[in-house]
Amino acid sequence: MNTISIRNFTKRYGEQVAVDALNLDVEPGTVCGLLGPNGSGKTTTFKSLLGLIRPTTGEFTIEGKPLTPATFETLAYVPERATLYEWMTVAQHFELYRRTYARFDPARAAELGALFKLDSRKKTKRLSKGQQTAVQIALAFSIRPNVFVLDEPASGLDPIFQRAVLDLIIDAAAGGATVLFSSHQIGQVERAANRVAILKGGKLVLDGDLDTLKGDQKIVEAVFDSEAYSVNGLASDPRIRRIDRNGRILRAYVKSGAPEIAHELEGLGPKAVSIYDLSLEDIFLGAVSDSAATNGTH
Amino acid sequence: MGFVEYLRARHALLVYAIVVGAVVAFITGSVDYGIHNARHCTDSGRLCVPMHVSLAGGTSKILLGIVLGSASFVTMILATTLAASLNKENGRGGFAFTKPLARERVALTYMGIDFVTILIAYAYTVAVCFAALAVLGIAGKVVADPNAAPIAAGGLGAATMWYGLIQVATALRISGGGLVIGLSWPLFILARGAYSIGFFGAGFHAVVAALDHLNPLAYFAFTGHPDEVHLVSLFGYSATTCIAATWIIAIVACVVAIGEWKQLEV
Repeated sequence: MNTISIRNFTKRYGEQVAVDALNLDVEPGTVCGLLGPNGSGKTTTFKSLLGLIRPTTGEFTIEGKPLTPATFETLAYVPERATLYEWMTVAQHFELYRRTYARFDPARAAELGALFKLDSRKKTKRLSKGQQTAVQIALAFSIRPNVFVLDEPASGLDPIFQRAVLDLIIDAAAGGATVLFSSHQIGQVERAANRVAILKGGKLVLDGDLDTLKGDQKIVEAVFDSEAYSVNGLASDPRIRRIDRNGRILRAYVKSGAPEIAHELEGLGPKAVSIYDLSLEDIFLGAVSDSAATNGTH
Repeated sequence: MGFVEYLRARHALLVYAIVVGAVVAFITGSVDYGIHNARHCTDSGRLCVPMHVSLAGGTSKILLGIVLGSASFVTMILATTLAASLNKENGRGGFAFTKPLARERVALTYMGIDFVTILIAYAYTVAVCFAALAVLGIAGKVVADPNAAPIAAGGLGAATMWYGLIQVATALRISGGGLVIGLSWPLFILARGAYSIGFFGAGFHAVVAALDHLNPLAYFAFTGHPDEVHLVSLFGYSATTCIAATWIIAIVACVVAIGEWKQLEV
């Protein structure tokens, strides 16, 4: 049974399609990074999953059941923007959670408050944006949920606290929790996620296990003296998934045979040729660029 | 989530108590000062002598209905400040809607806390009125009258009706609850006054009359003389009809607001 299941989800605002026929399953214990450019439908997907907006079509289940208020006893949501009560103190927010959630763990809350150096007496309007995010993270993790839906969870945090949030996510997943999160910081996703789904224009353009997506793919990069160079027959080489030309720089996304292709490129007379491992950023940019093929989607 | 509304209501009640207490204390002190420092002056003000003034001798009785009715008007201020409680959750990215509580339960909890707060504010206001009268030495002149209970029921009904109407008007809005509250005061006061204006023609009057049926101030006013005070409506309805109308509109408005809020997308 998938922890999160999204079936044939479409959301239209008038003529505009925000999300188009999205299918996504997240298995238990998975950390799934949902990536996409601004306006690609990530937040719309989160909000529909949580019942905050109604889908045009589609079905959602969490832990095998449709969403009900009881679902939120074991599901924590951190929205894109901090939405705390600005006139309440940090301690009052924790008190609110203690009264609201049967699973609230005061010891865990204290531990998280200390981790993020939160002053419990401060009103949240006196906190920086990053500290407000930290309060939301601490609240979310203090109820020890089975499912996390985190929309830009490390937004506004300094690098130390960003790392702390990623460690919390990884730790929760190791304990059996399922995490669906979005971030514009691809390095964070690469560090925490073992599964990636990429949205573009409301459509799922890439979805899969991160290691599988990276696979044996490489980037062969050649730098030429001028922009006037020819790639001859490389563009139709079946070992090459895609070629990007950016001025004097050529990047070939190679499925196999990277050394041979590098050797062929050397024959074109570049200043330098290098071979790199494919990063998640490369996968992301490849998936969302206008010329991107969708052959990674499944 | 009731904890949030409890804190909000507690804060509103505290501010209300301080402001009402301060205003009543100022008025009472001013009157008391006037009594004790009254002078009778002659010869163009050059010759003044102390003069004995006592409120105790001036008024034979103060009807309880006047005290309760006056307190109702003041309590309406608190009722309206609490009235956009559902709206206050709407701009928070679903904070209240992603808790293990049904929305209607959250809404009912909020409304229940608000209503209890209105009752407490009403009782406090009546108590402050009695304290002021006691300071002035005329508390003993307050006498029960048969219309006091209908006036209290009508006053609380009008305050609750106002609260419900603002909830309806704001439950689907993401923000702007304070603006609606602020505009409701001149709107209802002007609408009540406009009903009496005859020079815009029958059409205007019909429109205003229709709107005034949703105006709490159209159902609640009290008038009479020192010996007798009545609950009166703009439309000449009986006291029972006015009381029933305010409470029915209040309840219907709250139910509609909950229905709207349940459907809200954020």
